[in-house]
Amino acid sequence: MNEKTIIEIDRVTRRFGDFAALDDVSMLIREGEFFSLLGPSGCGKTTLLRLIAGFDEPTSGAISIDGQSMVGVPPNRRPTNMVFQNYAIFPHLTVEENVAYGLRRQRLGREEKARRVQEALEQVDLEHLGKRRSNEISGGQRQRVALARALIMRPRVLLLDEPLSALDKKLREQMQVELRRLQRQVGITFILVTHDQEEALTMSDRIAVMFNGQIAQCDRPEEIYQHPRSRAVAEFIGGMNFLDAVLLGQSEDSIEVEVAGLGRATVKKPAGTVFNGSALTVGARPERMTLLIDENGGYNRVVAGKVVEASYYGDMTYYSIAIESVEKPVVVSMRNTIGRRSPEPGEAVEIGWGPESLVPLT
Amino acid sequence: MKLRPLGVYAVIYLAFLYVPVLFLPIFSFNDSAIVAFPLQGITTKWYAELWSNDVMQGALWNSLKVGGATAVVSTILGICAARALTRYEFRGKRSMSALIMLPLVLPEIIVAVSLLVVLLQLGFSLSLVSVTLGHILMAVPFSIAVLISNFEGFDRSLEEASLDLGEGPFATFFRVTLPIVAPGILSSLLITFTISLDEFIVAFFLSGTEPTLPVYIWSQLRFTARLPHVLALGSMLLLASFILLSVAEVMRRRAARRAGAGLSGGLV
Repeated sequence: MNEKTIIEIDRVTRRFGDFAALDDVSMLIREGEFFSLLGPSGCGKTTLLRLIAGFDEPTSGAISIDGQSMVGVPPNRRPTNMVFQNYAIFPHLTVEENVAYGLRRQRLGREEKARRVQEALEQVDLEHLGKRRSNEISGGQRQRVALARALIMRPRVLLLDEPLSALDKKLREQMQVELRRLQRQVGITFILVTHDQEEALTMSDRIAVMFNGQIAQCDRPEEIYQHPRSRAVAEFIGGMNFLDAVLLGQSEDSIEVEVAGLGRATVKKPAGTVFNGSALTVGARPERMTLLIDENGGYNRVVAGKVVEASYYGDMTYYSIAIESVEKPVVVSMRNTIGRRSPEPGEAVEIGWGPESLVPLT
Repeated sequence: MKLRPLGVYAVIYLAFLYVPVLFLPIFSFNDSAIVAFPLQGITTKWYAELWSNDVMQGALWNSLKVGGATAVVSTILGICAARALTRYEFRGKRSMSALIMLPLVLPEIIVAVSLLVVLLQLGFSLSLVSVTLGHILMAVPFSIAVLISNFEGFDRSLEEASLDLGEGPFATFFRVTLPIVAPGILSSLLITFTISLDEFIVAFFLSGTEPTLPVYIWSQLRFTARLPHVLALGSMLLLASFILLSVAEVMRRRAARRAGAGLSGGLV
C-alpha cells in the first residue's frame, strides 16, 4: 500500500433541516487501502458514502477524488462505483446483462465486451450463472452480481454500503474473507460502511469510528481495539470493563493513576493527549487480564475477588468477578484450553493484571 | 363423490353469476327475432346486419374515441398520483389518497347527475368531451390502484445504480425506469379503456346527441325487432372486455414480478 491520497474529505457538513447528519468531517483515504466507516445506525456513515458517490451534495465543505474536486459532479461522472445495501440488481435483466450494464457507454466491440463480462463473472465465481434471470439467484449470488457489475467499471474507488448485512452468519464470514482477497487482487480502494465491529476489524486496513456525524477515531484496527481514545469507542467495539481512577500525575507518554479496586499503575497514553482534572475512567479488556486459578503464574499485581457469574461461549468463558470497593463486577475472559479448571460461582479467585491491561479514556 | 354444502353453494353462485351472461351469445346466434327457447337454428345474420348499420358504427367509433382519451388521460393522472403516493411523504397523504379513491364506491348515478348539473351550470354543451371527463373521473381510481401495486415495489436504488454505472438521467429512464413500470402502465391503459367502453350511466347523462355504444344499445331496446342485434353487439362487447381485462391482469402480474413485489392489490 502506498501513501498517496485518493479521497480528501475537507470539512464536510451535511444538514437535513436542523439535524446535522455530518458535522465538519475531515479525513484522507489512501490509494489501495481497505477503509471502513464504522458506527451505529444514524451516525452519518451512509450519508458520507452517498456524498462520495455523488447521490447527495454536502451542505458545506468539499470532497475531492484523485485531486479533482467533486463539487457539482453527478454520480455518473465520478470514478467511483457502489455496491448497494440491497444490491439494486436490475430485475428485468439477466445476470450477464446486469454485469454489462455500465459498459454501454464505453463503446467496446462485442467480443471485448463479452470477454470483460466473462472475466468479471469469473472474478466472483459466477461464470456458470450468466444466463440466469436476476430473480432466479440467491442472496449471496446477488451480492456477487452487484460486485461484478461495479468492478467491471474499473473504478478508482469501490463503495460498499453494508454489503454483508443481508447474509446469514456463515455466508457473511465467508464473504468477508473473499472481499478482502478480491480487494488485494484488484488493488482498488474499497470504502466499506458497516455497523458490525467484527467485520470492520477483520477486513480493514483502517477504520473510522463515527458517532453523531463526527469521526471519533480513525486508525488501524489494532489501535482502535487496543487503544480506544474515548469511552464511546471502547464501548462500541468489543467488551470493556470501565474502572474509576484518580489521576496522580502525567508525563509525555504516560499517566500515573490509582485505579479503584486494583491499585496504582503507570499507564501509557497516546502522545499529545492531556488529561485534565483528577478523576478519569480507565478501560480493561476482559482478555487483557487473567484469572489465577490454583496457582499464581508469576503475576506481581494481583487483586482478590469472588466469582459472581460465568457465561460460557464455547471457546471462551466470561467470568464476572466482584472486587471489593468496585461497584460493578469486572469481566475477565479465559480460553477454555485443556486442563483448565473452571471456577464455580461463589468461589474466591484472584485476578492478575498489569499496566498494559489498562487504557486511559477521555 | 359426496356433495358438500360449500361445493354446492359455489356451483350455484357461479351459475348465478355467469348463466345470464352466457344467454347473450347463445341467443345472438339464434335464427329468430324472438328471444325464447327452443332455439330456431344457427345464424350469423344478426352480426352481418349489425356490421352494415351506420348508426351502430358511429356509436362504436364514439366509444373508441372516448375510451382512448379516457385511458390516456386517466393513466397519466394515475401515474402522477401513484408516484406521489408511493415515493413521497407529505401532509394529508392518507386523507388525500382516500379522497382520490372515493369515486370507486360513489353511486354512479350520483356522480352522473352531479356532473350534469355542474357542466350545465358552467355552460358546457353536452358532447363526447363531457362523457370523457366523466369517464376519467371514474377511471382514475382504478388506474391508481393498478399503478400503486406496480410502483410500490419500485426500488429507488435501481435508478441510483444506473447513474452510478455511468448512465445519465435520460438513459436511466429508458433503460431502467420505463422497462420496469411499462407493464403496469399498459395494464392501467387497458383497464381504464375497458371501464369507459362498458360505462352506461354517465355516458347516458352526458353524451348529448352523440351516443356511445352502451347508450346506443339502450336506445335499441325499445324495438323488439332489433333485440337480436343488441344481443350480437353485447356478445362482442363481452368478448372484447374479457380479452382486454385478461391481458391487463397478465401485464399487472408481470409488472409486479419485475418490480419484485408480491401479487397483491390486483383488481381483476
